[in-house]
Amino acid sequence: MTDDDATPVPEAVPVADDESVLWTGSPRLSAAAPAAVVGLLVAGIGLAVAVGPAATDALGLGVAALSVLVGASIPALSVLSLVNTRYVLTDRAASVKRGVVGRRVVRARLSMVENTASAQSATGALFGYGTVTLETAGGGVSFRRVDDPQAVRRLVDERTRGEREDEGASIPGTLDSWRAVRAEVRLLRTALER
Amino acid sequence: MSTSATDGALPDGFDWLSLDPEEEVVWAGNPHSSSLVPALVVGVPLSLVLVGIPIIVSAYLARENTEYVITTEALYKKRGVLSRDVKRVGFEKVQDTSYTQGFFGTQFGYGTVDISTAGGSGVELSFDSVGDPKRIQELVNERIRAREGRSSDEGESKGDVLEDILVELRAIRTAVEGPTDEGSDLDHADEEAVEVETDSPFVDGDDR
Repeated sequence: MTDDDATPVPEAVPVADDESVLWTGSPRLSAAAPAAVVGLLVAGIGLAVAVGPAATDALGLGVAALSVLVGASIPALSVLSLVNTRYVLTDRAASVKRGVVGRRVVRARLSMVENTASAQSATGALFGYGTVTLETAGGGVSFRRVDDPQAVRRLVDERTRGEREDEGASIPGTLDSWRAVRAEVRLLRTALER
Repeated sequence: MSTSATDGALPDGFDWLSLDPEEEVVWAGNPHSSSLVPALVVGVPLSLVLVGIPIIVSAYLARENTEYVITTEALYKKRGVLSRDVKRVGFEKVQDTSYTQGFFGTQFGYGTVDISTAGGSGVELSFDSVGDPKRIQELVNERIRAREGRSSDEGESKGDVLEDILVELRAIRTAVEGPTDEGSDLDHADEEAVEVETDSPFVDGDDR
C-alpha cells in the first residue's frame, strides 16, 4: 500500500495472536507546519525586538536567545507528538496510540463502526494525505493526516461489509421460534410421508 | 474491606456482586497502590496542620473500597466507602476501549482504562489507576471475542435451523408432488397437505 506499512506496531497497542494487522501509519510531519510558522514568528519578533527597541546589549541578547528557544521548541513539541502518534488497523479494530511521556491508546472495534469517512483538504488532495474517521456510537477514532486516506477507508469498509452482510441478512424472530417452526415442518413431513 | 460469606469463586468482600449462574469472574482488582502517592505527597506535609491526615485516610479508604471485576459477561466497578455505587457494563454494549497512562503511570505500570458504550456521551465506565492497563484492555478484547465466538459456535444459529426447514420443505414438496405425475393425484395430495397443516403456506405455494 504505502511506505507506512513498514512502521511497526507499537507495543502499547494490544493485538491478539489471531488478529492480523492490515495497515499501520502515522500522521505526516507536515502537520507540524502551522507550529513551525508560529515558532518562526515568535523567533522573528523576538529578534526584531532585540535588534530594534532593546537598547542594552545584555537585554537584547537575552530576549533574542529566549525568543529563539521558544520559537524552536513550539515546532519541536509538535513534531514530538506527531512522531509518537501511531495508527493501527487490524481486521478487528482500529487503534490510535498517542503520547510522548505518557500514553493514550484508543481502540474502536470494527464491528461497531457505524460510519466511515475520509476527508482531504485542498493541500491534502494535492499531496495525497487526509483524515480517515471511523465513527462508532461511543465516539470512534480518527486517523489524521495519513497517506492515501481513501485506501485506508476502503480497507475498513471491506472489513465491515462482511460484518454488515451478516447483520443485514439477520433473520427476524428468535432461534426458539424457528426451532418450533422446524419441528412443525418435520411433523408435517412425517404426516405427509406416512 | 468488608468481609462476607464467600460464594466459592469470589474472594471476601464481593457481596455486592450478583452474577448469573453461568457467569464467571475472569479478573478482579482494585486501584494500584502507587495511585496513593499524590495523596501522600500532598497529605504528609499538610498533616503538620492536621488537614493532611483526613486526605491520606480518605484516599486510602477510597482505594480499599474500589473494586473492579471482569466476568465472562460484563465489567463491574464498585465504589463507595460507606455508600455503595456499583456499575455494570455488558460486553455486548462495549463500543470503544481505551487506556491512558500518564508519566507516573508509565513509570509504575498503572493507568486508566476507559470503556465507552453507545449510551450518552463517551465514557461509561473507567477503571482508574489500575495495574497493567494494557493487559486489562486485552482481557476485555478477549472476552468480547469469546462471547461473539460462543454465540455463533454454541449449538446452532438461526441460519442452520432455516437450512433444516428448507430441507424439510423440499421433502414435503417432493412428497406432495408425489411419485406420479398425474394432475388429479397432485391435486389430491395438495388438498391433503392443506388439511394436515393449515398454518403452512409453503405447501400451497409450490409452483406447478
